[in-house]
Amino acid sequence: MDSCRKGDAKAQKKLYDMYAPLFMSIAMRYMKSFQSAEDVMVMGFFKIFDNINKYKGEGSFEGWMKRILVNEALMQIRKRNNLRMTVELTDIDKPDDSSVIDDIAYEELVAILSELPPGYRTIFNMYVIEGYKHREIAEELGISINTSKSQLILAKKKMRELLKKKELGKAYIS
Amino acid sequence: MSDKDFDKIREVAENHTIQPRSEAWAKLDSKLKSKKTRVRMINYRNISIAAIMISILSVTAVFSMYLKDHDPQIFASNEEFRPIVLEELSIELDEDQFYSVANISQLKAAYAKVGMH
Repeated sequence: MDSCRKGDAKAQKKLYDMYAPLFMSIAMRYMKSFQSAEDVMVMGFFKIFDNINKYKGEGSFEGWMKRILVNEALMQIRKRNNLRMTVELTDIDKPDDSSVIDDIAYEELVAILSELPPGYRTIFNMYVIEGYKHREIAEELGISINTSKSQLILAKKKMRELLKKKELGKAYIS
Repeated sequence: MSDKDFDKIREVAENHTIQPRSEAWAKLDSKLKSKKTRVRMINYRNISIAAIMISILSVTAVFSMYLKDHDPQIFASNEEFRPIVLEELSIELDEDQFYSVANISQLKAAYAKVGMH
């Protein structure tokens, strides 16, 4: 990390080789296409190297890098889509909390996530996979905590529908 | 969807990696290099501006000192001008209108009287 701080290209390449596959996987969950995920990953790394001196050793370095990458993905989503999330918690029916997944492959997960509207997908990713709290999501996206909660419920509802559709499709084919 | 479903999704997501294209590193590397060049250019510009400022200040200071040393006002003020009125001297002129060497003692006395030796 010290070599990266000094701007050593070899050290930067080593860090890139170590984390690029993981960061591509994260970016793929937020973005719809491989190309835009790669752009997010490249810009994320650029910001990591540019701001590496700001990392003071508080928390894990990987966590710090992931946060920069997720912020970059959010910025790109904001640029490309209008993240309008105005539905409040009171407007939504009680969610169905029964289990729907027996087994799921990564490709299936990404395919389902890409079918979700950008707002649902973003909050689902941040809450379920990255482990952000609703308060943190609200701060990052500039929305209320209730909006974040409501978007997650709607995302779950939509995911359930898509998973059921997928299962029904399989049953129909077989 | 239950917490069990969330755990499965998280597990699948966290354990999966995707290899980016080799062009991605080339793109990042060129961005990093252009940033380095830009930073260097900014540093050179700042150093150049500082050097120019120092040069201007030095030239101004030297020129100002030179002017101070050669200020005619300073010499004029140091020299006290006192006119000598020779008409007050009682020197008799020769016929040919030149001062006579014989009157030298009187001239000396006259200069002594006005404070010049």
